[in-house]
Amino acid sequence: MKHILILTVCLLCFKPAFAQVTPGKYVKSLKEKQGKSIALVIKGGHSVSVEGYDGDDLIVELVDTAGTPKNLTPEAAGLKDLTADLIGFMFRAPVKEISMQPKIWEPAEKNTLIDKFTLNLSWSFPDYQNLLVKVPRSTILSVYFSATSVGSKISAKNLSGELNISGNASFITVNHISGPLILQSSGANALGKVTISDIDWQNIPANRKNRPFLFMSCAGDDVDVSVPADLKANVTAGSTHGAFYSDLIPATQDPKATTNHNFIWTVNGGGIPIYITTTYGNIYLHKQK
Amino acid sequence: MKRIIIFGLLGLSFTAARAQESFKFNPMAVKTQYLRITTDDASVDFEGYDGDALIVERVKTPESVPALAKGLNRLLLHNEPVRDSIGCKILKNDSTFLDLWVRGTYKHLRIRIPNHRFSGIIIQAYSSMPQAAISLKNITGEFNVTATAEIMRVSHVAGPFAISTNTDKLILTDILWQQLPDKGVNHPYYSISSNNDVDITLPPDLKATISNGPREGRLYSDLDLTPHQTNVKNPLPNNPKFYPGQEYIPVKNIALNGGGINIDISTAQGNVYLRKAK
Repeated sequence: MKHILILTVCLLCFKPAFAQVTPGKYVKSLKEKQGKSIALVIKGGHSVSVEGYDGDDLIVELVDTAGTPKNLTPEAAGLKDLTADLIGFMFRAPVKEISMQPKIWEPAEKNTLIDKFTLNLSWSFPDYQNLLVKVPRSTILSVYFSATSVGSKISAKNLSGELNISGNASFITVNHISGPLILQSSGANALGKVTISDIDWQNIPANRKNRPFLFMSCAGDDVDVSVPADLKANVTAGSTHGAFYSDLIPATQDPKATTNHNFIWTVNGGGIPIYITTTYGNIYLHKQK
Repeated sequence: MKRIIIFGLLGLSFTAARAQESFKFNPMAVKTQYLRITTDDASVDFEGYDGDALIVERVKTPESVPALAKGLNRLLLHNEPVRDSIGCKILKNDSTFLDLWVRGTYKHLRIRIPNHRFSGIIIQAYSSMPQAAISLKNITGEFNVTATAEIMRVSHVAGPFAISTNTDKLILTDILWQQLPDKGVNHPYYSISSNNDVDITLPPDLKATISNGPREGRLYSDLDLTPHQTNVKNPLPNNPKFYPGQEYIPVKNIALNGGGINIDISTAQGNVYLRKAK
């Protein structure tokens, strides 16, 4: 009896500090946190999709991908999957018997140095490789994604607040946004790609006019950005090893050099600052169709 | 006389300014020498051949326009090299070691290595350039490769070898696997490791023992592979944390046709594909 009581008390103490959830949905009301920054710190998994919607809750859903292995590739056509039989025999229990709970936890608010609501999520679980996150459309959102698999993806759409994405995903896609975007990709995958499209920057606040509305810094990725054809901007672009292609800027327009690898061009007479840099990839900046 | 001197000087200036498109070096005629080649930021084809000279040459590749660039202007970023060249430097050349460092601005090089000249070859090829590829073929002796590129292909080599890559894909085909003499060395003669996918074609009648495998990924094969367990002498019988008191310990591997040549394959995040040679 004494042991049962001790165990119960231990479990109750543990729960508030480290709220584990079973695979499924995590829901948190953001009504009281309106105007605050929301940060998602995600470790593990293969893909993360972030979507803005008209509700008030933060919804995190681990998508059950059992039966659709992430590593099923065209190269495996005609071959048998012998992982469970042979690799399991050598090193580990058969894959289906691995049992780990994904973890979601909120750090205590008093420990946060800035006024930001942070949600951490980490897992290493073969059957739950994809994560779906829904946030109120106007959320000021930061997403940090540390992926562990080749070909990992992160996407964000339908957001009107400021959006900050950083991480090492191979493929990053952002579309249907109307707020500023700061994106830093450290993915060193040469096949990686960042795609930005369907930007609506009709209402740029006066206090943002001299700050970059788009700031992108990538390592190995190609960068493909579509912007409205009538966008007035000062574009700073640079690629240490890649090339820069555009239909917004005439080939005859001489850029103004800032450093060895960064140059500024004016688009439609100049306007908001846009920064796009990549180390090894190409940059494609074109008119939105 | 004045004109001759002027023309002579002009001719010399022109020779110096011209892009160097190849480099040729005759190693010492001693077979005790090891060769090390280090390359940076280029796709490189390493090829063994029957000649005597070590040759580095440019491979001409047509300029390709990416599909995404269709209809767009190319804006000059001023990072294009002013002049293409091959820069080779012999860092060391004595009776035991020839150390060659290859640099330059060309994106694709071929390095021809005389097969009968060296005791062993060490290759260090690093390129983070998009679509960078490293290939290695027709090397008949022992070699050790460390490579960073998008893809690496190894074919028609005999080994023994150790290949360690940071690539999206490592592909081995047409390897001249052989049962090498037991020199009392406690490691496999064929060691293949990568951080991503490893794709190896094996003859269906090869007798091999495969150790390790994918750490995070999966193993795919159409070969008749079976679990294989042997008992080996415990190297640390007095270690309380390592099979204490046991004279023999179990070692679990994968066998092809009952086991034979030791091949160690490991990958951190990728899959391993073991294919039957057609």
